[in-house]
Amino acid sequence: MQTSSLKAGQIKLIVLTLFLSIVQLLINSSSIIYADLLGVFLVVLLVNQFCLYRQLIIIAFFADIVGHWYLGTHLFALITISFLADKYFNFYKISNIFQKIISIIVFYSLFNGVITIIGLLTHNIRVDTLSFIIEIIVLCPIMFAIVGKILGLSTVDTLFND
Amino acid sequence: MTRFKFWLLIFCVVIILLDKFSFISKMRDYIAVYVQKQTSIIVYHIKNYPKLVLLQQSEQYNLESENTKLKQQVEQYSVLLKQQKNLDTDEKSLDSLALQSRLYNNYGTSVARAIIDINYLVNHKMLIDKGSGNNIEVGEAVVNQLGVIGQVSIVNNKTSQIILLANPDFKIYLQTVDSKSKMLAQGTGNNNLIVKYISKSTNIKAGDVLVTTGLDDIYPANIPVAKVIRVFYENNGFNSAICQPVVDYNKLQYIVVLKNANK
Repeated sequence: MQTSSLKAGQIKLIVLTLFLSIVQLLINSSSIIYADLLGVFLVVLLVNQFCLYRQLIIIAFFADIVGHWYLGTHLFALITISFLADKYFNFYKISNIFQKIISIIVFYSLFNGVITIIGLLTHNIRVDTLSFIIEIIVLCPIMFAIVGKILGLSTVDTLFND
Repeated sequence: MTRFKFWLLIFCVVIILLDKFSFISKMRDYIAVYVQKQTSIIVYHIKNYPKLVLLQQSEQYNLESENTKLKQQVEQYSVLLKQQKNLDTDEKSLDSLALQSRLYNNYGTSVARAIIDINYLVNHKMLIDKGSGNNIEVGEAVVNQLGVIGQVSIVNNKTSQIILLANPDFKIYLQTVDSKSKMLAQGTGNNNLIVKYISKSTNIKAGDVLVTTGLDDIYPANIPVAKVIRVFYENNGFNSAICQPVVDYNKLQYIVVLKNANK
């Protein structure tokens, strides 16, 4: 029974990842805004400690490919902020929704900062203030709601067993 | 776990550098450009779909209205073409009538248009569009280029009534082309004429054409009148013949009224 619910969760995760990839491609192609939807998705998953690391690694590579970053950029940023996120998780668990959203915004800002530094070092620069503001004000709360609704954040205690 | 994360960080740095300085980067760029292009095309189509639909609808509407107009034009032109053809036919028949009119030296001619109506079917009578205003008089002969049609029976101011050959009240003197034997023909009322009292010695057979004699001062001589269909013997000692008029009344358009100048 537990195995089947895990499989269902994985399928939901795959479908959501593919859906977000398509939406990201469409937004980035049809507008002047660069929206790193998969990046926000990764941060929400990490802060909620929803996924296993191998799932995060795969999604991070996917985010690199879709977002035209060098392979490993998202993963590097994710691992970097995970040192803080692990220590913050106990506080995050007892926070209310508003605090959780603020936490996600803060972690995403750090995540984006690391990515920007990697971009500057590798000359693959993409610094867009408007996009960043939209990401933290609009996309982070929406992504938090989507992940909570579709994947179900109550499964927190099944994580990070590796 | 921390150790695992450090190894992951080192792995990330390695693949970032590998990606940047190897062919993978170029390949990714090519793929990215291709995907970007395809996505842009899809987005363009999605954005412009409503416009395209509206455009197609308006074009379809325009085509429909244009098609209707063209159909109407074709209809008009076909009517005009038909009229032109009719005019050509009329002109030809009028020309032939005019040529024929010159053959009758002692007769004045007047060309008129035939009006076929229900009267023709029931009473074997026909109207023409000329009357006393055009010097048409009762008793004058009516012919066309094929032969005799009948005789003027009633004259009005602008129209005249013609009594046709097949009318039972109509009588005409005829002769055969070869032997010139004279005989009297009368309408039967069923689109035919009957010739009675033909002498047994007269050489007449089916297929012979009977023509006018020219002795009655109404018709010029040798105008075809009827074609013999059947010859039969009657108990009174004479032969009789059933004849069919040479003129097909259904196809009449123009006729010539002949006026004897000696009268």
